Amino acid sequence: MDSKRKALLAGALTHITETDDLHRASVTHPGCVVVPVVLALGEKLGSSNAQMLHAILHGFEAMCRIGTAVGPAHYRIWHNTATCGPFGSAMAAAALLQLDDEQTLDALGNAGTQSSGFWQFMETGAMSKHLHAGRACESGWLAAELAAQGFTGPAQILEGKKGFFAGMCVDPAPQRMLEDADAPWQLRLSSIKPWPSCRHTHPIIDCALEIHEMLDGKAVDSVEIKTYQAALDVCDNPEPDSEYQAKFSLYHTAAIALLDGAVGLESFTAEARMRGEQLRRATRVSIVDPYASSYPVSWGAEVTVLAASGDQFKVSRKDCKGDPELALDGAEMRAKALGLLQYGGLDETAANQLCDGVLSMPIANEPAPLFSDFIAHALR
Amino acid sequence: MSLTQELITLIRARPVTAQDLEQAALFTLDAVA
Repeated sequence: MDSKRKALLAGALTHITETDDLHRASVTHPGCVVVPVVLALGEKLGSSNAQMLHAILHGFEAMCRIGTAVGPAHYRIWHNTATCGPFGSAMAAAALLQLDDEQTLDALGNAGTQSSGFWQFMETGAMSKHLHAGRACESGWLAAELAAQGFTGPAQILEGKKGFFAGMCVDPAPQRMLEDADAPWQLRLSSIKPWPSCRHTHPIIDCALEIHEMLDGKAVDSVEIKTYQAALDVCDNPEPDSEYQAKFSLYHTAAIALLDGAVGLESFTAEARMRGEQLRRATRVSIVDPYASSYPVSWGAEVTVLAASGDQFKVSRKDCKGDPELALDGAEMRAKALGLLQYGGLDETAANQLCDGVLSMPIANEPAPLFSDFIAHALR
Repeated sequence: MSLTQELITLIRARPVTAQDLEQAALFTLDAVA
């Protein structure tokens, strides 16, 4: 298998457990597209750790900034990670390949012309979402590699009459991608998921976990969720019939958080779905301000639970745990990584070594064999 | 200058701090895991 195809595989697998990062304003998951390409291409080229980390910052920046410009209507049909991802992987690959500005323009042009990825798979729970991430890795890398060989791309791929915004965006805001040039890197404005489910379910999980403590064992009579439109567009599934669909169900994630007081990889099994059935049926969801109008700047929600005792419990969230405003600390990040690595089959020693190798990247002179380890881990 | 050219210029002009690199490593760990 060549390196680009390995990056496709790694991108798909990074996205598969719904544990990857999220950039709110663009509604993209940049890490699953940018990081596999940088690790794979960096290993192939013998890039330094510093070069790889710079490339990751550049890739996130391109993908997220273009994603902020696509407009809200784009996300109703198109999966932003898939459509904006090729720009991110191309920008990151261009940095590692040390392309000049003209070559990088060619790379982004041919990244954009490969942009695709519909939400249609959600109706049946088909596996396309993972392919989206993988193909975004591969197509951006290909575009950059071609540009290095002199293969030209359309300079006006974004704003041209037959380009990205014209073809795929009903309400684009092209200038938005150039705003706030001095803001922190978009990577630093990105969120880390503490729970293995769609990010739209997370503010609801946060609220439900707090209510679980308040309930102190009391039975639940009904649940009312107030949220924003995109959450309902993607996660309005009261009867999920697979593990994957359960990760995209506002109803199931609320139910399991209320019942168990915890959400983990085991929270979506057939057994968990069976336990959550009664509560899912007692749950109503509505679109209400301020959550509706604050999205996508804030991904918030409110959950109100009426207990069988007659007590009522209400909790709201403006931001989710793992957002920059409520960031996971270094220990929480490491604990999440160790948990996932061990869930994937690594023993504790190997998982800790992989964590140490990645976290030492800013200061270590010699690159760790990260991509080889990454792929070996992913294929277990 | 096309929008893509402006975006490339904007990105390549941005300074990178040690904290930026530490954060990039954390996001790398999150993706690898």
